[in-house]
Amino acid sequence: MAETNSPLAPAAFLILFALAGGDKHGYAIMREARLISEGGFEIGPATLYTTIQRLLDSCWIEEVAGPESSDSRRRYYSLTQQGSSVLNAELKRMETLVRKSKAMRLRNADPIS
Amino acid sequence: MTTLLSLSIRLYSATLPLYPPDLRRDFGREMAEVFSEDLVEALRYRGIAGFMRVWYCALSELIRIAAPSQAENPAVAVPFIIFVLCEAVMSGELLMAFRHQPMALDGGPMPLSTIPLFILPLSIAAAFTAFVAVLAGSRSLPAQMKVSSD
Repeated sequence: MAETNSPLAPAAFLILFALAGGDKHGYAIMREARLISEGGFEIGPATLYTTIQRLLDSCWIEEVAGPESSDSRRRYYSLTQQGSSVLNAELKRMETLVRKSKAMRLRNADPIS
Repeated sequence: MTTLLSLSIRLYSATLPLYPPDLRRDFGREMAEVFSEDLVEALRYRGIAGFMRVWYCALSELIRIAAPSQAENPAVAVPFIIFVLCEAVMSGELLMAFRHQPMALDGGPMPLSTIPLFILPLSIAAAFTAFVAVLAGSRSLPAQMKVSSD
């Protein structure tokens, strides 16, 4: 897994981002990740769980009990404090890049503004 | 539509043993469930285009994630290499032979399309022999060096 000061892999970033909105099970994370990327990044089951496995190993997310009404077979995941810090660092890094690209008047920065 | 769904889910479940053992052990059931939910939703809201998209994604993951993990397994990699080598060498040999000496039963030139008929069974036999040899060799090794069957 990437170091905290390195850019995150897209799948890891999207999963952390999806979990920032609250605890979710695998399929809910996948749907949320698609919404966040506006369909620009496709996460399949193997990518999803390979990344979840790495994030669990890095202690950036953790498995938690789901809501009482939920299907007991589903496993829910939650963002840890460390994962939240990593996500914030990544967002800050992205903000800096966007700010710099705007300052440089890069063509690709236009649609963001 | 239900048949298409159940067939797809069975087919996807059949590919799960190709994924890395730890991923399959920890998340195999969830992977199949997520694929199934995704497929049902894609078919419901986006029809056959959604269905194709889910399968495209699953197949690309099979190449990106499952194939490299299988390449590390000698019981898969060695027979595969033997198969490819046999196909290449025998195709070349037969191509040369057919060019110089037509061998059709009626005395006419042998069509090149018959080459796979000769070499495919032989290549499969060679690959199977290599598979058996690797597994047999693995049994004679110390436990920590054995080929994983996962």
